[in-house]
Amino acid sequence: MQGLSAIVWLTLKAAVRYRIVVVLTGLLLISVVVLPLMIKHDGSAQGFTQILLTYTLSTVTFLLGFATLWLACGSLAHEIQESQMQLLSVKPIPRWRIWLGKWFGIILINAFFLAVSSAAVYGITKWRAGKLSSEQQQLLKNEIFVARGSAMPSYPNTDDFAEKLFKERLEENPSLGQLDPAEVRRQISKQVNAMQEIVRPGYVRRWTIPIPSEYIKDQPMFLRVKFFTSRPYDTSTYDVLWELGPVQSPQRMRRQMDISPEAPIEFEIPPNLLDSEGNLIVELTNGSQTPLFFSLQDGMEALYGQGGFAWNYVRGMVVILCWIAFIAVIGLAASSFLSFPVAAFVSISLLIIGFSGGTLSQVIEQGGISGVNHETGMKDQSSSLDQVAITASKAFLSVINLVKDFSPISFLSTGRSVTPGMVAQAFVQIVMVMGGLFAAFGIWAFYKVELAAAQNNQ
Amino acid sequence: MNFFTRPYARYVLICLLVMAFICAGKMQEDMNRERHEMGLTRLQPLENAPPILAFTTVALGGFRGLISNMLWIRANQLQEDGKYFEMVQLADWITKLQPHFVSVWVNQAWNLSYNISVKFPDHADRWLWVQRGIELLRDYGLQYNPQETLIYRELAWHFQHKMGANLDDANMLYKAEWAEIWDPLLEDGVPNYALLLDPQSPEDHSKVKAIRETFKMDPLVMQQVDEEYGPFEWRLPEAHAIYWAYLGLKVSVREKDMIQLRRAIFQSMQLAFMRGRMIEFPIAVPGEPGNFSKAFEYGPNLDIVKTTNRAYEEMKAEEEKYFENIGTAHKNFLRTSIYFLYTHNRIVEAQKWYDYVRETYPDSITTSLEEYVFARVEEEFGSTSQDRLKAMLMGFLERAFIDLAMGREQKAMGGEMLARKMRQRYYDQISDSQIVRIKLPTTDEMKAELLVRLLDPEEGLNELLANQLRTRLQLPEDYDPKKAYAELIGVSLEEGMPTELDGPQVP
Repeated sequence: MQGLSAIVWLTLKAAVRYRIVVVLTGLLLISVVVLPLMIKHDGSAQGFTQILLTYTLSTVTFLLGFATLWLACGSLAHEIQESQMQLLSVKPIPRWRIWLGKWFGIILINAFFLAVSSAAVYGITKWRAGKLSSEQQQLLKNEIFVARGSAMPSYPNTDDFAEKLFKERLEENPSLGQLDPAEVRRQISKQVNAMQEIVRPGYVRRWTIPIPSEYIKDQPMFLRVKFFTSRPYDTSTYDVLWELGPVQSPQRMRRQMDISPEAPIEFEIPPNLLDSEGNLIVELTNGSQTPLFFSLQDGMEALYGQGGFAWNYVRGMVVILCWIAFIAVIGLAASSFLSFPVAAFVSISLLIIGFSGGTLSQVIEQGGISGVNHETGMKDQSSSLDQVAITASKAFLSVINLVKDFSPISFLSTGRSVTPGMVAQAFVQIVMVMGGLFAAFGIWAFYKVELAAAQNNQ
Repeated sequence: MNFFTRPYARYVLICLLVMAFICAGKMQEDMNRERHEMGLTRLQPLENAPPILAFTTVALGGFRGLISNMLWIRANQLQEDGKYFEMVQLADWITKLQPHFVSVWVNQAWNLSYNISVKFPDHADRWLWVQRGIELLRDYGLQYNPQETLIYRELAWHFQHKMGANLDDANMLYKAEWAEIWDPLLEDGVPNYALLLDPQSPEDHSKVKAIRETFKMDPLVMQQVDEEYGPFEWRLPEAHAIYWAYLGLKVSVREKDMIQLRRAIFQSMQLAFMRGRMIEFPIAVPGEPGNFSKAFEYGPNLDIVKTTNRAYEEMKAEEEKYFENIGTAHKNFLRTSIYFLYTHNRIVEAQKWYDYVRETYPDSITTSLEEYVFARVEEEFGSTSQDRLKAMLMGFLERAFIDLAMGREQKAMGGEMLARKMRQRYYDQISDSQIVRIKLPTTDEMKAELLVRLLDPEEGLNELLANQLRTRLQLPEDYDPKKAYAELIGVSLEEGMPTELDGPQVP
């Protein structure tokens, strides 16, 4: 343990010696203090707070990530290159401890900078919010300075009904038996689901959303809805009537709205609208002439206050620290066997591949890598090369998503809850699993590298 | 000792360096000129740009497009996810990376004002986005492209269509907010040009500063617009649509697109004619922030027939290619004017313009004045246009009051009955979902509103007629038309008296 802490201390001293501390302090100061003065926003208090949190935290994350990569690659590769590592390796400290000591040192530096800069962002955001009117402060408190949980409607299981329908159809039309039964079942299942998703003109649809009632007594909630029409890129508005709350309740809320499709719409609903079983009843009357489509996955969602902003913010920062720890592992792993510039190049390339998850998803969605049918946006027939690309993309994506499937900044800026479970999952997936894999490789490579052969001859 | 080691060598080299820079600069000018003459580049020097933007656009060179594409992709992605809070910043970056690409300005402004605004069910939120769209064009787009016709046209369209028309459910809020912003800069809706052009007091200076710096408008040009096409009620968006279109016609260089600006002018003038007078009730409904449905009403501005006619005539002369199109619009405007003037009891003027139409467009009206108006009533009976119908109903009711004052009770009753029937028919034709957006005041509300004007000692009927009207309506001696109107529409006089904001006065 003493050896490990000695390496950590050496790494901290090296960081100061490289002047990375000074440079980083200056850059973070600019991003935290100057950036809010330059950004443009929609003019609302919520919009300003959201963009302030998003841009400052994103900049802090980017700067720390970049500096981490630089420091991780530089500290190990330079020490190997300049033969300083030989002096360390002859001490009675195993190489894995040296490697881990470097890693912990880098994490410590980053944890310090992240703590200071995120505290500054928090302070500035709260300070600016404190200067707003009490009405706007209340809006921020309800929508952004809060950790909001999410509840989805409970939909009945339609599998049995779909199976029954499948059998009935088969009896009515025996020629269906000649088709692929799995495909027919899938089609019928989609039709059954569509019955739950579409609200026809003049009709009413009801959703029942179970809410964990311990959180929401006397607290306002928010309904977040997203719907589509049959027209793509539809910018029209549609008249609907929302009715929320128990059917017989005098407190039942009614609100007429003209709403626009294809993007989520969020609006506040008064507190204490749950029925005796803790369900929020939502009814929508489609007053337009067009059928409206609310997806089962993200068509309807209730957001409710689950906790305070401060701890949510801290949890968000922990997730960011997990990312930075992972970047440090990548840099150290690369510099364990490569020279500084090559290690930096390899690490950055890996991160770029990681950021290109959208392209990989597109390959899977379109069914290949070569030209697609512009009418359908899909490949008509996938070749063997396409199949290889799809399989590889799926494999890459599943690995990348272990790290990327977390959005702490987006959650914080939209008042969503970063739950302790999410933090634990981030730690396991990002640090333990992915970080562990890279660390194992890096330590192995560090053991294999011939320190004396890597001397700088100049 | 060679040359480079001599002590004076560095000064010689510095001189050579400076000369090289001067020559390079000179050559660059020639090269740019030749590139422009040979059509090899579309890039124009960026004018009026802040240093950071000027540096960025030069330093990034061809990579500007690449970065701009990335920002577009991000903007689209965020928009799909319903995360709009970055859109203003992204639009700012995208437009500034390609500051001379007019379509980018137009597209981004349209996106903010039209596409994003309607995503918000709360009308006050929508207004924020409409303002951002206007600001993008007015404050930045025109700053870097002061001669681009399409930006002027788009800006005018925002006022004419997004704010002026009633296609957006929040249009009444837009108009109310715009009126509230402009009200302190005007005197009863009209600019005091004497003070704006020669400000005396600090208050005058601050008004001029706001008009110039916030709204990027020139009081002198406003005056020219009023003289040429007005007088206008400047709290209404139509006046601003005309202002920007007029300015565009004066300064823009793209001749082929100027017809769009001319259209913006005469279409806005038609709107101003039909509802360019404003009656304001500057009180929000208690407990319902943002609900301004009863905060103000419109009336027709019948005084601009002459200037509107002149504008059409000028445009016909200037746009030979579109002579027929403009002629058709002109003819339709005149026909509508005759009808409106007649129904507002301005028979002499109606007759004058009737004669003018018969002379200018002989085939346009072949019947007598009265026959034409009655036929038009039948045609309008089926109209579902809120503004037109309200203007018409007010005209009928005004005539009915005057008839009543003159002792022609039967005719007055007939007029009022016709107005009530027409209003009822309008409501029968629109759907329930449209009622909030394009509702009409009740007949009693319109009558009360008219009495405010007709019984006004200075601007209403003459004393004799006014007294006769009071007697025939059996109004009590202490009857206060403003108070009665306010009570009828549920407005508290303690909070603010509804005042008719004088637009151009009826002669």
